[in-house]
Amino acid sequence: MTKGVLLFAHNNSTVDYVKQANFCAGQIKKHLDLPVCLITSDKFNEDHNNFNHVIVVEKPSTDQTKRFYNATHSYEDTWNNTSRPDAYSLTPYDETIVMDTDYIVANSNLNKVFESKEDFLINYKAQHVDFESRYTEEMKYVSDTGIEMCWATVFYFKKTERTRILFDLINHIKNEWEFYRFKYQILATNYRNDFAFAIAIHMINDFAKTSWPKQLPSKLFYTTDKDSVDSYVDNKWNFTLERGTKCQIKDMNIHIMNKIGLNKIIDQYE
Amino acid sequence: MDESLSKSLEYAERLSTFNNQLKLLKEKCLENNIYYTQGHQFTIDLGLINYCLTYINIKKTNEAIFLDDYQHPVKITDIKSFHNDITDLYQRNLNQYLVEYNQLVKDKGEI
Repeated sequence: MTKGVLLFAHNNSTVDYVKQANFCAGQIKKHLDLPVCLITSDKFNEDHNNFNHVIVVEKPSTDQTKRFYNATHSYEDTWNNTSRPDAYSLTPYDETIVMDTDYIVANSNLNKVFESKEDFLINYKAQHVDFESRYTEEMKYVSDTGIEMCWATVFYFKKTERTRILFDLINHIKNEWEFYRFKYQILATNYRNDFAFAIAIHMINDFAKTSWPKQLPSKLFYTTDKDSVDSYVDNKWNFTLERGTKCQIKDMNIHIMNKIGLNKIIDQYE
Repeated sequence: MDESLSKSLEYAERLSTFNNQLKLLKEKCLENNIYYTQGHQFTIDLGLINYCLTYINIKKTNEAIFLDDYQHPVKITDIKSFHNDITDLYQRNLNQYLVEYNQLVKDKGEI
């Protein structure tokens, strides 16, 4: 059984996702010792050499935009997040971990997924590093009266009949987003993978909550795009959180949503 | 702002950072205690360790049923070996926790 990590990167004028993916892949090799496959529609230069496979796809057409924050400053730009449902058909591996390029691996805990008998693992909970963020409480469900949230930031799957159906459902939900957004009472208009995965999991379980899928053996810690990314040295990340508190993360996987701040640190690191 | 109030708030901010770092350290230790056997997930804690010890004490070490993190039953056939593996991992993680905890207390307020 082949194992590896899949990353998706489609640049916009605010964020160089390919550069971010290259840094992310470097951390994956260091801590997980797994091959990394990049799915991109952008050019990459020879400095981006942490990838074992690169699959070039057409730039997905989207008119979605969102505001990208770097703590206090923000920029409106296109948000191209529609490739992820194709993870099943695009992955060159039998067992795949898919992660955002701003999810930074800092330990080997994710390798435990390959010891699991499960065919799909994902996080249902996300935890802000300050443990007090209002976002954590608000993000347990897709809406006030809706189903339980799940986080497509990082997930694991092996190719089975069930996961093939799951990804077919996610693609269907993406294509019929207006209907499912209305059906599941989601206020945000943009297509979002977290919601599509949560809905598909609900559907494949015959519209009920079951014990499938189980959780990843690594809790999803995050900092938001309103938190500043201050430095990265010796596997230690330093942040200034939105409310002014300093925070240091060492040897822990972390989702750094401030993509602009993260890329500035990557520039210094390289 | 009054100087004493300003100092108090500064101290409160340092304490808040310190407490937050403690929580993160604890979470890291808990996460590192996740262990897989036969495809099932176990989070190692004293309950699991003592459950193994119960069987070892009554010399029934060749087979017992355990419940994994999701309350699914798993047959463990070599309880001594399982016990050795989980206590070894547990102690290594606690040791790392202790080292980092002591460092954090030493550096209190300097992050």
